Amino acid sequence: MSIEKIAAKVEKRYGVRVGVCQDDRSIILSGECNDWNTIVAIGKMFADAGTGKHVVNKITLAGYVEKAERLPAIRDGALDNTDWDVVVIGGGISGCAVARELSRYNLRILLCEKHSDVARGASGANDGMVHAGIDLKHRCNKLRYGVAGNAMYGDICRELGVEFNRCGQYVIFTSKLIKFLAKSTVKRARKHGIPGVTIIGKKQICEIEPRVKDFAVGALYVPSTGVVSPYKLTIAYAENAVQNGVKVSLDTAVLGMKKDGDKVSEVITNRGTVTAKCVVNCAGVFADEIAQMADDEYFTIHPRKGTDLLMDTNASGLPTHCISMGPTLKSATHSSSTKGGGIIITVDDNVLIGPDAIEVPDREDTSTVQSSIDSVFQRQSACCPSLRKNEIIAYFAGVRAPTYEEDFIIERSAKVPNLVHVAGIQSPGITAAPAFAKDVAQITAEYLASCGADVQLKPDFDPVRKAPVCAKKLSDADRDKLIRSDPDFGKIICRCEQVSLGEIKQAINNPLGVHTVDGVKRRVRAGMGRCQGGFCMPLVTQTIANQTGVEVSDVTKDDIGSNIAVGKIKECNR
Amino acid sequence: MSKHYQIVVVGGGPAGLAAAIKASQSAGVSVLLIEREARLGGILKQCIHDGFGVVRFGEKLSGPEYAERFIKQLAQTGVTVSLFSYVTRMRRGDKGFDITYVCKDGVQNVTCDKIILATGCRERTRNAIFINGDRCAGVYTAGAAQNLVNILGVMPGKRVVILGSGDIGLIMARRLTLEGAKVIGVYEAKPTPSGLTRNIHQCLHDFDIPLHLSSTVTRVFGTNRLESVEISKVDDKMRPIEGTQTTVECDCLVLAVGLIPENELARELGVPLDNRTKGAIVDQNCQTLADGVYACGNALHVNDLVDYVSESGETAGGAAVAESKRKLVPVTLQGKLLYAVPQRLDVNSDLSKVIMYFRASDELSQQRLTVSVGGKTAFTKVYNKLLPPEMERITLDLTGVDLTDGEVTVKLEDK
Amino acid sequence: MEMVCIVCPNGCRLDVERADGQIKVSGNKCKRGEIFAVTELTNPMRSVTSSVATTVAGYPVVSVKTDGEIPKGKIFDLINLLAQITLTQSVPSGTVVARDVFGTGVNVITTTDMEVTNE
Repeated sequence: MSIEKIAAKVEKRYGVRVGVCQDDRSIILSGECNDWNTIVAIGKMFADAGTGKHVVNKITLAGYVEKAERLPAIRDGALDNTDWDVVVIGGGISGCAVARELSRYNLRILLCEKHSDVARGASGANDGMVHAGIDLKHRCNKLRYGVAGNAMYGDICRELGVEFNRCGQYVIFTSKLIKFLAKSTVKRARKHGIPGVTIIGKKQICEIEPRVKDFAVGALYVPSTGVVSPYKLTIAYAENAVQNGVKVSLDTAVLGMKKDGDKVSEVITNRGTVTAKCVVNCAGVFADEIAQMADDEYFTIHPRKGTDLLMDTNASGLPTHCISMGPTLKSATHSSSTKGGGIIITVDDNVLIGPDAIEVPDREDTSTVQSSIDSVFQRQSACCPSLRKNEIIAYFAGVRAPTYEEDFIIERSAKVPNLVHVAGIQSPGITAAPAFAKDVAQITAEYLASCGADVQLKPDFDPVRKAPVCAKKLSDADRDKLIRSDPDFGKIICRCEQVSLGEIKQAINNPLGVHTVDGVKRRVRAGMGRCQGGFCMPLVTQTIANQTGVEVSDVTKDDIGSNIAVGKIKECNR
Repeated sequence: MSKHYQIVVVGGGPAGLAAAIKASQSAGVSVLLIEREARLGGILKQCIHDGFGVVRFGEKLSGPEYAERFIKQLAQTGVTVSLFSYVTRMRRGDKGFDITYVCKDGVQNVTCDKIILATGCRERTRNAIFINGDRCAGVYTAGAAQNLVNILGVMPGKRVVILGSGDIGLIMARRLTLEGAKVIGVYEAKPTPSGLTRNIHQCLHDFDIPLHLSSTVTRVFGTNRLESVEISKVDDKMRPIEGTQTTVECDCLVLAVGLIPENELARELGVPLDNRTKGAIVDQNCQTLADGVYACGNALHVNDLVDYVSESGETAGGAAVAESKRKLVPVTLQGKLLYAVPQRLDVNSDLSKVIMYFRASDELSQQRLTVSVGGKTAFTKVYNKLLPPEMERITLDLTGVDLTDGEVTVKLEDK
Repeated sequence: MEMVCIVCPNGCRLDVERADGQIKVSGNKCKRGEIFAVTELTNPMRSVTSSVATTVAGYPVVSVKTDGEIPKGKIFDLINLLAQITLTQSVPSGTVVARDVFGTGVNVITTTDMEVTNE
C-alpha cells in the first residue's frame, strides 16, 4: 500500500491528518493528536506498510508537556579533554555487553551511564526470561540474535559468574484445536533452529505442574527457555569490562555531540567533553534522541511500559515451573501485538508474574499503577488459579524501547560512518545481547581498522569474572570455612534473604564503585525479601557510610539526590 | 558432636528474654538463647519513648530501660547467649530438634528437647498495601524511620506524612516533630484510630498534628526523593473513592500500617498458624500444635503492651521445662471477636490460671464476655468499652470444670 | 469537659468539671488520673525522651529521658539544650547528662547501657 493511501486510511479511521514525507531510510510523520495510543497505532500502520523503511513519528500529543529528561545532578570536568577510541552510550545490557566484547581489543573504551549504577532502565526491570524465540515469526534481527544468544547463555553465564537456569517453559493449552494448531509452531521452531520443542499431553503436563490440571489439555514444552537475573548479568558484563580496561563513567549523561564532516568528533557530557573515534549508541529509550544529536534520526522509540509482580516465596499455591497460557481461540484470531507474558521461577526461586504492555509517552515513567497490577495478576493467574493477590510482595515497572518496526536496529549508520546503533532493543533483548554484542564489537573494530587504526585482540583479555560469594548457597562445611576466614560472612544483616555483612561489604566494594543502597540490593538481594528492607535498610546505609567514609545522611538510595536521610537530628547537627 | 540443650529460645527481644530467664529458673535446665542482632533487646532498643513496664513494674520506662532489666537478670542465670546468630535450619531429629545457625564463629549445630520461638513481628510494607507510584527515596516503614532517628541519629525527612495511626506511627509523629520536622498529618484508612488513646493525645494533640480518618495514601510522586503524595478518602470497605484525591507536598512518607508475626521458622517446623492472629495456634502453655515447639510474644500475636509480651514469654519458658502428655480441646469464638489466644486448652495441665488475651473486632460498648464449657458459664465479665487496638486480658480458673468432652466457647455479646 | 489520662496505657477517659474554683474528676481508675487532670488544667507537665550525640563507636546517639516531668511549654527548649551535649565515653544507663534543667529539679539521664559491646 502506498503511504498516501495509508495517510488517507488514518484520516478516515482516526480523523487525524498526518503530514508524511520520506527520505531513503525513513517515513517521517508529523501532526497532532489527542490520544497517545492513536499516535502509536498510526506509527505502526506506516511501519507495517511493507515499504522496508523505518518510521520517524513526530506526531505530537496535544496538550502534553514532555517531562524533562532525568539528568544527573552533577556537573564537573572529570572526563574533560579525554580521548577515546570508542564511547559507548548507555549502561544497560546492550551497552555493558558491547563494552565487554569491545574490551577484547586494544582499544580505549569509555562507557557513559547517566544513572548511578548500570542496569537502571529496562535491563533492571524485566522478568529475566531467556527466550527460546518460539513466538518470533519472521526473518528478523530479533530471531537471529535471539536464537544465537539463547545458545550462548550457558557459556557466557559461566564465564561471568552469573546464575543461569535453563529450566524450560510450558505453554499451556486449554483448547484441543489450539493444541492441534501448535504443530505449526513446532515445525517453525525446528526451521528456526530452536531445539527440542514438543507438544506434550494432558497427563504429562498435569504430572509436571499439577496446578493446571483443571483446564489444561496439553502443553508446548520449550526446553531451551531459561532464566537469569537481568541486572546481575548486566552488572557482570560491566564488571568484566572494567577488569579488561574499560572506563565506566556513572552519573554521566550525553548532552550533545560535535561533528567533523559526517563523523561525530566529540561527545559532550555533564562530566566534560571527550573525543571519540567511534560512538556506539546503546541508549535504550533515548536511542532515537542520541541519533538525533548526531543528526542521524531515522527511527523513533515509542516507550512501552511493562509491570511485573513478585510473589512471597512462602505463598501457598505457587507453581514449580515456568508456565504461561497458550493462545485461546479468541486471542489467536486477534492481533497478537501484546505479548502474553507468563509465570517465571527466577534464579532466586521467586515466582515472578507478568508483564503487561502499555504504551506511554514518558520514556522514564517507571511508576506503578494499580490497574496494571490488577490486570497482570488477573491474566497470569489464569494458568495458576491458586495464586493469591495478597501474597504479592513487590512489583515494578520497566519501559521497553521498541521502534515502530518492532525489530532491533544493529548497524553502523549509513549517514554517520562512525556511529553504531544498537537501538530498538526490547524483548528478547536480554536473550539476544550476548550474540549482538559480539557483532557490534566486530563492526566497530572493523570500522576503526578501516580508518587505519591498529586494532588487535588483546592477549591478556580475561573473560572470567569471579562470581560474588553467596554464603547461603554454600554447603554448611564451605560456609563454615568462609566464616572462619572472615567472620563478617557469619553476621546476617538482611534476615529475609540471609545476606551477611561480608557479602554487603563485598557488594559495596564493587569494581564499578557503586555505593548506593539499591546497588547493594541488586548485587546481593539485601532488602529484596518480604520485609522489603524495613529491617536491614538502616544497617546497609550505615555499612555504606562506614565503608566509604561518608556521613550516613550522604548515602543515597540510588541516583544523586536520592538520599536516604535529609540530615542529622538536632542533637547531632553541629 | 553437637552440643545439647534442653531448651533453645530463638529471639532475644522481650519475649525471648523472659522465656529464657523463666526456663533457667528450674534447677539444672540448660538453655541457649539465639539472637540475630548484635545486642539483646529486640525492637525495644530503638523504642526510646517511655510507657513500658507500667503493668509489670509500675513505672514508666523507656524501651531500652525495660529491656535492660531483663538483660541484667539474664546475666545472673546460666543461660548461654549467642549474639549476631541466625538460625538457618530447624528440624526434628533423633534428640528432639536439630538446629543449625550461623554466627561470627562459623556454622553451629546444636540439638535440643524443646524450642521456644520468640521471633517477634515485622511491619507491613508499602507494597503490601499497594501504594503505587514512583520508586523514590523517602518512603519508610515506621520502624525503619525510628531506627534512622533513634539509632543512627539522622532525619528521614523534613515534611512528613504518616500513614496509619498505629502506636508506632503516633510515636514517630511526635519524635519527628521534636527533632524539627513538620508532620503534616497522620492519615488512617479506618474510621477509628488504631493506636492507644493516650498516644493520640500525647503524640498528636500535644503538637497540633491533625489526624485524618477514612483517608489513605494512594500514590507517591518523586524523582529522587519523595516530592508529594496523593491522598484519597476511602469508603466503608476502605476502597479509595474516585474524585476525592488531593496532593500533599512532602519529602517523607512514614508507614505504620500494621505488624505481622514473623513465623518463618514456625513454618519450617510445620507449626499450624491461626489465620486471625497470623501466629501459631497454641494452648494455654504457649505450646503450638507441634509437640515441643512453643511460641510467645509478638510472634504469637501482635501485642500493644510489652508487659504482656514478657508475660507470654514466661508462660512458654515455665511450661517448656515440664514434660507433658497433652489432651487438647479447641476454643471456639462467637460474636464480634477479632481473635483470642490460646486457641486450645490442654486438659492435662494446670487450668487454675489460664491467661487469655482477646481483641474485639469493632469499637463496641456495653459488652459481656462469656467463657462457657459444654454450655455452662465458667467466666463472665462486662466491658463498658472495647476497642480493637486495645488488647484485653483475662485470667480463668477452670479447675473442676469438666473439659473432657465439653466445647469451650468464648462469646462476646451486647450486655 | 472530657480528657484522656496519659499517665499509663489504660488511657482512662476522664470527665472533668470546674465548679467554684474546684476541679472535679471522674472516670479515673486510680488516683493518678485525678492528679493528671488537675495539673493538665493548671500547669501541664510532660516527661520527655530523646537522644544525645556521642563520639563512642557504634553509638552515633544514645537515648535519654527526663527523670521527672517538665512543663509542656519547655519541651522544645529541652531538645535544643540536648543539642549542646556530646558524650565522649561509654556510660551506663541512668547517667545524668543534664542536671536540674530550667530550674525544675529534673535531670536528663541516659536510658541505654552503652557498656554493652556493640559488635
